[in-house]
Amino acid sequence: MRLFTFFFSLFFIETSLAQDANNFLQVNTNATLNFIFDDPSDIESPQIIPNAISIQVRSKDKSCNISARLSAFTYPYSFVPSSSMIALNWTSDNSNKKFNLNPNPVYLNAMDQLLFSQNKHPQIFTYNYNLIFQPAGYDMVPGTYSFTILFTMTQL
Amino acid sequence: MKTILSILTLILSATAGAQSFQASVSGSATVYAIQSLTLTGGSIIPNFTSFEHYLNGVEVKGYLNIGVKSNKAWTLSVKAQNAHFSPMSAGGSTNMPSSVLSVKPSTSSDYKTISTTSQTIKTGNKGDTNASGNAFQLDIRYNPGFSYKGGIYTLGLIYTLSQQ
Repeated sequence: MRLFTFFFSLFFIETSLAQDANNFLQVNTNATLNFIFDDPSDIESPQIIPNAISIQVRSKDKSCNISARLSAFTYPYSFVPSSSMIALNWTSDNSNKKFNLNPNPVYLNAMDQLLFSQNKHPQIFTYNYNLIFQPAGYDMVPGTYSFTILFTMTQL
Repeated sequence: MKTILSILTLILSATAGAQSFQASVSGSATVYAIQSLTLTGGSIIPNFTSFEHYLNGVEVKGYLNIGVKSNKAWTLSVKAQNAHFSPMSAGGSTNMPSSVLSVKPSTSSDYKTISTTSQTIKTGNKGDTNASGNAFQLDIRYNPGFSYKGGIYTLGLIYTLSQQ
């Protein structure tokens, strides 16, 4: 019985891990994620790259949450960021399994921000987002500002 | 033992069930030096109607409203477009120099005599027009003395905003 239970445990774990093949998170960029600020109008209003990012999700056996955060944000030495400057704004999707989708701009910081949830389903669904850079006005000193957005699919 | 193994199984399955997957994208923003200069007003034509005006000159306070937007510390300078005023009326003097004019920020007492050489009239810090010192007025003084004929004269002034 011990042996059976041991193998049962191993089998269960392997089955759970095997579900990785059925779970899928892929983020595609549809444009170069580079903003240029060289005019007063650029620095005075949000800059948008339309449909910059597509998130593809499959979660066959469990519902899941899709969240995003800034895992890195670097900026010129003399700049002091006062608020979140990067945002994702949902534009469209082909999913009929989504819920808790935030249709408003989601401003990113170092903490995970929920973008949407998806019910379990074997199909891959695609969600498209605008990428927004909210400039800090004339406090934004010249230089290069770099960012990395980390997307996380967490099964519920 | 069964219980232990069952608990172990549950723990392992729970651990396996709470999976997460991650993907990331990177981007950048390139910000250049950006500056904007707004001038409003400057249309007041001084009248010389008394002896005192010719003796001491005419000062127009708040002659020009200036707004600066800059993402770097800035310098505003001014110079005359030409060395001499141009008479707009027949018989006017053609030799009235730009030095008849002088300007200063309203908060300053230091008038700068205008010439064709650019002169700094104010400096400031980065920010929009709400930043301290980035919205201000200029006073102007006309002091031609008695050497020139009566009439209407014009002179172009060139304001230049640059980064420090």
